[in-house]
Amino acid sequence: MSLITPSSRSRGGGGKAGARKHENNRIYANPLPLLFVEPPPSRIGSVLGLLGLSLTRVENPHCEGIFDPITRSVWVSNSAHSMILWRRGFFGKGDLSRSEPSWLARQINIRKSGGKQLTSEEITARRRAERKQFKRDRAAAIAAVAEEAEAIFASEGRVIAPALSGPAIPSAATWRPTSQPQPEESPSPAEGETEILEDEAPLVDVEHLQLTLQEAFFLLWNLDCLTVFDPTTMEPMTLQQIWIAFQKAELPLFTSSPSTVVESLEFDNPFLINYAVYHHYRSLGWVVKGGIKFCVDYLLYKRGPVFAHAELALVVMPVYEDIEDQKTSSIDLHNSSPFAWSWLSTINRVNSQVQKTLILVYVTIPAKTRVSQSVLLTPACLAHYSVREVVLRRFIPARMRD
Amino acid sequence: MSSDTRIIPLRVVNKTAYIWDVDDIAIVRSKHRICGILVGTLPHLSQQNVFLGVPLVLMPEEAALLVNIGAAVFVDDPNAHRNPTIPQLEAWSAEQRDLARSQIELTETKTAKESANPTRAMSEDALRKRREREERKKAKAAEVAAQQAAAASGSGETELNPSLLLGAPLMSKPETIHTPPTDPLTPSSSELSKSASTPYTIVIPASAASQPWYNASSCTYKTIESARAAGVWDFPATLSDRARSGVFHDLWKQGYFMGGGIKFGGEYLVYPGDPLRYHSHFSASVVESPIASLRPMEIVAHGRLGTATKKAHLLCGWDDEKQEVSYLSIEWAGFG
Repeated sequence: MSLITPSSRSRGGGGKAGARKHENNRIYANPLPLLFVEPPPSRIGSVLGLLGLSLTRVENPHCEGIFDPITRSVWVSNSAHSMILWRRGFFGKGDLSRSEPSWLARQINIRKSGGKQLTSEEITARRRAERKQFKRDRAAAIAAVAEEAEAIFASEGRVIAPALSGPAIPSAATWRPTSQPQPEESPSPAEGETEILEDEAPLVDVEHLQLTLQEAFFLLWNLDCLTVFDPTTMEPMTLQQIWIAFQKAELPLFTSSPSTVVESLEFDNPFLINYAVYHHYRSLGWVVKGGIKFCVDYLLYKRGPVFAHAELALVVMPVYEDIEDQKTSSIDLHNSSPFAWSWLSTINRVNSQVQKTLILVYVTIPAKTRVSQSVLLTPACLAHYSVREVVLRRFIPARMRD
Repeated sequence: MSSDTRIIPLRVVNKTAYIWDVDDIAIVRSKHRICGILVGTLPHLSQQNVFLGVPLVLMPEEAALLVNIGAAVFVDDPNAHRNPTIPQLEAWSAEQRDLARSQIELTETKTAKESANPTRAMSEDALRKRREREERKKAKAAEVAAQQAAAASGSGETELNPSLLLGAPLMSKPETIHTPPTDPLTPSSSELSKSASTPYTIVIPASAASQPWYNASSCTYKTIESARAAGVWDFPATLSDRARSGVFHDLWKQGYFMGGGIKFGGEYLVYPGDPLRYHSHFSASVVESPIASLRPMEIVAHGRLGTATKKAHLLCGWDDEKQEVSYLSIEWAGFG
């Protein structure tokens, strides 16, 4: 478990945090978009149950999304669908939000508070200005104390070590910004703004949920709860079309197009490698999210990001079964050649700072000489890929004796 | 430090530059803002992980910079050790012998002084015990002597043996001086019998440069090119070497001190002054070309790591054509 969870539990007790936890358990009760609906208990049901059958119905939400090759994602614009995909399994991310598509809710909140509520960016800017002011105050106080000591030395000849802390010098713990005459300035423009805001038309949700290609393919291939539309024709795409299109989206746009579809497909396509990893961990019950904010490829969450911090960070390391394939490949696959020690130490340090354990995920790319390229035409080719894991931890001899 | 303007010899072994002289280390640090890393052991410290002794190892960038500014020269250390001539060797072993003898004499006078007034350190009881012990020993020695006298009347060779045994190594192998038991100090047998059991320290000088057979005149290189031609030194050889060298020199020129930065995900840690006085402000990484691609993940990693350790990350782009460096710093700005 992450270090954060116990403390927040103890702090919250039965109060706010506890209530939020309860609420989260209710909202995010379903780990996947599919729902299993139990019929009310009946005689027939119990008889069938004895025979090993059940009347449980699978409720499939059948969400819809549009494939966007440029951003390599599938856009779900229907807000009901995006809510389902987010709340049941944490798929995708709002394009105007950090994770949950919450743009509309935020905008409504801002309107309600009459534009007085600050955005996070504004809060950051204000905090920085305050910190700068604090440092200036502290430096001035220290200089004043030193000057006083100098004066005493000059007049009386006594030597006083100028203090670097004390009652005269502000400390970070106690310093408070002196209230600026800001509030007096702000009312007039703020009032004007609220008037304008009230005149504005009702808000339209402009946000969509972005699914990565891996997420989208997992949803449609394994769970059959997503229909992907072609961006130009707006027709639903078949599994075969999607499979090829997702692979091509990872290839450079303007390459000399080979004569047949098969020739354009490669075993080292990033989509295939990432999908192998995504599918592997999703199947094992983890919630897999992108990990770029911690300079890794994926993060693994237990249940989901709202419940606990991710404890595991994945670095995808593709390995060619046949080295020759790497030499002749047109794709410069990220991390397929060993990276520098300094980089390993960097990402390990970044992740141990945030209490995450680094896992190197080695994905073996099948050799062209062994497996025919035509298997790439269907998802069945994934059977030829294998995944191995190496857990990495920084060993600090002085601190890890017990 | 007789003169601060002297040229510092960088002793190169296996393409790594070392400084062995403490004064030289002080000069490069205080005058040239080059720190290096001490890697030698300090025998009196139980933990050899924080403070270490000579030699000082220089990063290749540091060594190249010192030579480029004319503050130092490369010395091909293995070749500077010539084969010593016979007189040199004899002088050396004589010196060793004198050293050993002076040490032995010192110990002897010390023990003599101690035995002259032994009461100082001993209690009544100990003195009595010692007297008893000496008496027992004397009785035993008398007994042995009586036996030996009986045996010697048979052969008569035993008296000569000690001097023969101890004298022989001096003639054949002068280097056996390292083994005190067969010490060839003096032929006088009475002194020998005593000194053979007296331990003394063999001093091995840290720097071999003072030895008479150490001659660096023919293997000293004032420029990197000449050292490279001689196969002694080859940094900077590649583009990445040139980039590192160029960035290092440029930061150095601006008055910064640099240390190794692998701990913080960079090439160097950049200090505003001596690292003993200041924390580093930047961790710098070298980008080999102004058009080199940079992955977003690197920006994330460096931004996070630098900010967590209160450093800004410095991306130093090297333009090999213009021989210029451009800098860009990254800091993490979390919202909320």
